[in-house]
Amino acid sequence: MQKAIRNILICIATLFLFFITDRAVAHIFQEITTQSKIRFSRIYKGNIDAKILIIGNSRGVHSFYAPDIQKVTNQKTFNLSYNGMSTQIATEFFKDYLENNSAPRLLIIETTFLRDNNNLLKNVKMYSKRSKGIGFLFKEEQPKSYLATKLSNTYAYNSEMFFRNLYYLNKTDQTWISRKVIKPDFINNAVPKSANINLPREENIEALKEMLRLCNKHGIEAKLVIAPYLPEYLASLQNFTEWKSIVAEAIDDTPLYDLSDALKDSNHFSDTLHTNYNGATELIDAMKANGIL
Amino acid sequence: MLFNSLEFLVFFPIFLLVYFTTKGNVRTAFCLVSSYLFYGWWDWRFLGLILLLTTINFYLGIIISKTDSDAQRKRSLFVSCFCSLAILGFFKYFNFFLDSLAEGINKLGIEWNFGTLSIILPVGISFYTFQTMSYTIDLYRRKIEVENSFLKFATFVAFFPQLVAGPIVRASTFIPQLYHDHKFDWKRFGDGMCIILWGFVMKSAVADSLALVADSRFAQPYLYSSLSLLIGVIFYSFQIYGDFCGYSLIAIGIGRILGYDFGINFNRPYFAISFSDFWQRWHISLSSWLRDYLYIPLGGNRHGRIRTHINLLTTMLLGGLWHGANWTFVIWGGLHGMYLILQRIIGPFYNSAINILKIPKALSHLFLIFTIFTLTSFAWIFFRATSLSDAIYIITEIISFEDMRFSSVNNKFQVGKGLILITMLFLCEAISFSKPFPHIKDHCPWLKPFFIVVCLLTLSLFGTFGNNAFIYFQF
Repeated sequence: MQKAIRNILICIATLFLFFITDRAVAHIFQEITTQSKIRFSRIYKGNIDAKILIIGNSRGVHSFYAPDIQKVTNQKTFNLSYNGMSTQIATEFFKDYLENNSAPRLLIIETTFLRDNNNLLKNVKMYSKRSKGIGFLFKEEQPKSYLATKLSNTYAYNSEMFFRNLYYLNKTDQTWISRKVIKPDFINNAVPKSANINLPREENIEALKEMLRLCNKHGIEAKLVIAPYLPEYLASLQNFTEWKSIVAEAIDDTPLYDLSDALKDSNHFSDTLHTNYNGATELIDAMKANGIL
Repeated sequence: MLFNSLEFLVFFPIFLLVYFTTKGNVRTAFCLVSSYLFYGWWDWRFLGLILLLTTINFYLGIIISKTDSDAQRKRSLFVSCFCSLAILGFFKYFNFFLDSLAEGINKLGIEWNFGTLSIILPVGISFYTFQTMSYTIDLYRRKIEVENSFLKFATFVAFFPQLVAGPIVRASTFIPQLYHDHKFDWKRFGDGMCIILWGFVMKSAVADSLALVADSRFAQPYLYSSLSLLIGVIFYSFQIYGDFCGYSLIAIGIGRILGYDFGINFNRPYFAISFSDFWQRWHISLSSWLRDYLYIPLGGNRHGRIRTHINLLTTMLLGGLWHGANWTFVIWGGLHGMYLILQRIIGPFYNSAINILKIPKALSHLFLIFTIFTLTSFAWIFFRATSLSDAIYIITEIISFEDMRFSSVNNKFQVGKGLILITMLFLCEAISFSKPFPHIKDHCPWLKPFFIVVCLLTLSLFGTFGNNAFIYFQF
C-alpha cells in the first residue's frame, strides 16, 4: 500500500513538474516572440504607423513588395498578408492593427483571400492570447486544439509561425518574396487545361464588409485588387467571371481593380498563383497606371 | 483503431482496469474480445478472416503434434502454409499478378485485359499470417509444444498491441506468457509508459512532421529541385523509421504494462556498419522470421558461395514483395539482396585495406555508417515512390545536381523543423549506444520523471496530430 501511495505521488509530482516546465517554457517563448520582427508580432508592439497597409493571402505576400512600394510612393508601407490567410482571420488582425497602431491612409486588399478557409488558425494560435478576435475564432473553430493549448501552453507554439518568429527575431520579414521562376516544363505539362477558383465563402464576405466598415470609420481609403495569375492558368479558370461578380456585388461601390492579367511574361511568376520579385516590381507600374498607388 | 486516436485513449484505460481485475481464462477471453474490438473498429468484416486462419492453424497444429507419421505431419504443414499464403496471396497480390500478367501479355503484342477485383487489403494480414505460419512450422520442427487451448491460441494470433503492424511475435515467446496471471507492477507500468511516450515522440513528432516534407516530394516530384528531392528522400528514411519504430515501441510498451515481453524490433538501424548489421537492427522480428523460415530452409550459407548469394537474393526479393504488391517493393528487396551479396564480396577486401592503411576504426565506422545510410536511402526511393518512373525521375533529378541552392527548397520552415528533429533523434540514439534509447533510464531511475516531461514537451512543441495512420498498416 505504501509503495502504491509513493508511486502515485511520483506520478503526481511528474505531472506537476510537466505543468511547471510547460508554463515556464511557454512564457519564455512568448517573451521571445514579442521581440520578433515578423508582421503579426509587430502589430502588438505598435509603432508600425504605415501609410499604406496591404492585406491578403499568399498572393498578397508575393504580389506586393512593400520595400519597393515604399520607395516609389515615399510612404511607409507594411504588408500584413500571409499564406492561406482567410478574410475572417485578416479582419481580426486588421482590428488589432488599428487598436495598436495609427490608421493607415490606404488599405490595399488582395481579394482572393475570400476563398480561403480558417485553417491558418492552427498556425497563428500563438496569438490567441494577445488577440481577442483570433482567440475567439480559434476556440470556436478548433475546440480540440484550443483545449490542448490550455492543457499544455507550449502547444500554442507548435507551428511554423513560431519558427518564422525565431527566424525574423532580428530582421524584418517585409522583404519576404519568392525569387523563383516557374519552370517551362511545368507550364507545358502541369498547368491544368480547366480549373476553378473556390467561390467566396459567406463568412469571408461578411468579414470583408466589416473590414470595409472599419476603413470607413477610421477614414482609410480601401482598394480591392485581384493580383496577377499566370496567363496560362488564368485562361483555364472557368468560373473567374462569376467569382468577380460575386465579389463586386458584395463590396458595393468600393473600387475593385482587376490586375489578374496585368503580367503576360511567365518569367514574372514563381508558380501559377504567385508572382516572383520581378513580377512584383512590374506590378507596381501597373498599380500606378491604374491609380491604385 | 489507431494508437494515436482519441478512441484508443478511451479504450486503453478501460482495458487496463478490467485486465488487472480479472484472472486466468476470463482475462484471456477479455483480451481476445478486446483485441477483436480493436481490430473490428477498422472493419469488423475481416474478423472472420482472422478467426478462419486461427481455426485452421489451431487444428492443423494439433494434427502435426499428435501424429507420428511424417507424411501426415508434412501434409498438415503444407495445408497450413498453403491456406495462410493463399489468403495472403488473394487479398494482397491477386490484382498485382493479374495486372503484371496482362502487362506481360500486352508486351508480346496481344491485347488482353483481365480486369481487376476491388479487393480491400485487410489491415495487418501480412503480420498475423506470418505469426500463424511460424507456429505450425515450429510445431513441425518440434521446437515448441502444441497449444491445446483455442482461447489462448486465438489470443496469441489476435493480441491487439501487435496485431496490425507487428512486431511479429513467435508462439514460443508469447504463448507461455499467457499462462501467467501478471499482476499490476509499478515498475513495469513506469517502464511501459516511458516506452509508449518515446514511441509517440517517434511517430507524432518525428515521423509525422517529416511526412509533411517527404510526402509532397514523392507525390509530385517534378515540382521540386534536386536539393528539395534529396531532402525529401533523407526525410523519408527517417520518417519510415520513426513511424514503424514508433508503432513497435507503443506495442512493446503496452505489452510491458500488461506483463508481456515482445523483445525489441528496432535497434538504432542507421548506426549499422554493414547491411547484415542493418538487418539485425531493422524490423528485427521480420528479418529474423525471414532468416529462420526462408533463408535457412533454402540452404542459408551451407552450400557454397553461389547458392548463398541466390538464397540471399531470393529471401530479400520475397521480403520486398511481403511489403506490398508493387514492382517498386520487389526492386527495393532486390537492391537489399544485392547489397548483401556485394558486402560478402567486397567486405574482405575493405577490411584488408583498412588494416594495411591503418585507418582508425572509428573513422572506418563513420564511413561505413554513412555509406550504409546512403545506400539504404537510395533503396527507400523505390519503396516510397508511387511508380517506377517516379523513382527513376527522382534519382536522375538528384544525380543531376541541377539546382542545389537552399533557396530552391520549398517549405523551408518545415525542412528546418525536420532537421531539428532528425538531429534530436540522432543525438538520443548516439548517447545510448549500448541500449535502445527508451531503456537508458533503466540505469538511472531518477531520470524517469525528467524523461517523461521532456517527451511530453517534445510532443507538445513538435507533435503533428490528426490521426495520421501508421505506414506499416498498408503492409
